[in-house]
Amino acid sequence: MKPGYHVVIVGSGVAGIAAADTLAGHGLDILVIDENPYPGGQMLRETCRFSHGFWKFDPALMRSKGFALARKITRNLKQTGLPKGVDCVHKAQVLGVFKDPGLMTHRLLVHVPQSPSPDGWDHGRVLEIKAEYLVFATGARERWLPFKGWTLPGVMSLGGAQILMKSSGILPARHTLIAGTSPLQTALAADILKNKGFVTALLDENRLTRKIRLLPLLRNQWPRAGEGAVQMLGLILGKVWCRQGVRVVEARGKEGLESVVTAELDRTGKTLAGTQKIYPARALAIGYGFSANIELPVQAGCGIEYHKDRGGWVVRADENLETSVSSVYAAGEITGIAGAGKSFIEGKLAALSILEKLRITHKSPETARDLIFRRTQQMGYSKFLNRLCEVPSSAFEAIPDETLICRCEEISMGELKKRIRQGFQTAGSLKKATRCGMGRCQGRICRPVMFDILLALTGRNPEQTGKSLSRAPVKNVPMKAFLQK
Amino acid sequence: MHISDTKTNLRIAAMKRGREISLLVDGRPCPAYEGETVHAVLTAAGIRALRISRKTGEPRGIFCGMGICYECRVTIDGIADQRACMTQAKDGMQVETLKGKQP
Repeated sequence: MKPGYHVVIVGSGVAGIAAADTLAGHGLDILVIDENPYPGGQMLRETCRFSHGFWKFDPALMRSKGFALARKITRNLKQTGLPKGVDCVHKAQVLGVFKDPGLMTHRLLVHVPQSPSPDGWDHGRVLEIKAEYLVFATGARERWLPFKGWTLPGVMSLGGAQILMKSSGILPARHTLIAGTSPLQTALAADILKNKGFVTALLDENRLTRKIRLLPLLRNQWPRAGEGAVQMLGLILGKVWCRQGVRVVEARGKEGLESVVTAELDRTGKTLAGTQKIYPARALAIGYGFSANIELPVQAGCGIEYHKDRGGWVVRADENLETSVSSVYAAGEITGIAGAGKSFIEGKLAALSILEKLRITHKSPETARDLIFRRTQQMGYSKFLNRLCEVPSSAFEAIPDETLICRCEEISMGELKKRIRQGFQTAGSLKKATRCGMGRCQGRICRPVMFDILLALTGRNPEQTGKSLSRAPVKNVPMKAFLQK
Repeated sequence: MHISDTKTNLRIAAMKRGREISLLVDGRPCPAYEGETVHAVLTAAGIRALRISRKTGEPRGIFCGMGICYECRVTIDGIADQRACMTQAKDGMQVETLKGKQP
């Protein structure tokens, strides 16, 4: 690894890989950093293992629908084998980005593995890397609607269940119950069936009528609607019991999940009394859409804005994907939750924008104009996806007081409500008054929920409610890492 | 006691795996394969409760599976607070959950 690079890309998911691939071959020094052991991010999840080459994928890992996309993406990349001039460091976390005083470069504080490590355990070390240009491609994570017992072992995210299968080939359980609302539900169910597991039931908060009403948003993207229909057909043929308009209200169990209680929803999304149903379950995979990983861009000083149709707080970027910080670009889910298609396009677009800035003639078959146009088409899917995953504010208001909102610090809904009543009505002040978002995950799990609770209970708009800041280090790092040479 | 399907093999048969290795989980030998994450090995072994929450003493396990929630913290080779989902299983690795008190 060099002390400085022309371009550093944070994240080796779809957007990061697309950016690196487009930048490669122009004589620039490029570094890709990712905290996972392999490239691919959440979407491609280890289909690109180093043992099979950087851009290649292992056909034996082709177990799920997501891999069809992986295959398409890797087929579209022009390189096989590590592109020349591209360095890659994995299991590495960017802790913060700082401006070099007086210079045009960015200083990144990065926690990297140190091997061989002196005491047999790798605490890693922290080092500084300089970059002229930055591309943030940090992706997204899921969001949830907390319910009583959601911290029980056995309750996991939809993505978490998929990762067990994609990365390690393990079923979450023999029978998995799927709930929430998200296109990941049908993908997960299909994956489980393909891998000889069972789906107890697929419980979607959304009704089919709502999905049909949102279909016009896919007018440029009919193949997606077709895909969804085919997946649903697959589930019906696989005899998966699909129910709609249903919400999980409790997870029960002593040392782990044993049963799940659901209630039916009325047209406005409120639970109906007397409609409770209990499912015995050992694994519940549940998720409610996605939230952008904007922590590092915020720490770096990038402006963010709130767009409900893009999944909430996203990084503000212009047509060329440059953020409010000069020479810092954002690509993928962090500019708007819209899936891998948009991420792929934006990775390429950010790369082209940087090449243009450097006055280097690019070797890409596509122009920035083409990509900008295709990007606009993807935004229709973004709206569809985020509207589909919308949870009515009544659902947040109705969260019982004993339900934990902040899992790390164990802060309950009741405590949040008490402080909100006392006048702590901005994201920042509520966080400080309750410690919600100050635990290990630094709010990655609870802050979007806390924000939605604030909006629901105070009736204020997102700008008034504000966002809480991120400070370096944005990821957990052991002190020993700072002390290693 | 929870519903037990630990006798069920949760490993997907069709998946190509690395060489077979063995971990020591709470003092007991646990089969695994190279390339699997510790959280996958534990899930396949039917172990769901990985730690106890500090304030309320409740069991916690895998949640996000992607390294951001920090729920799956276990002690590995004597070092506490390692995310099971971000750690790759190695032959002879010693994993401790719930400080060794597995129900």
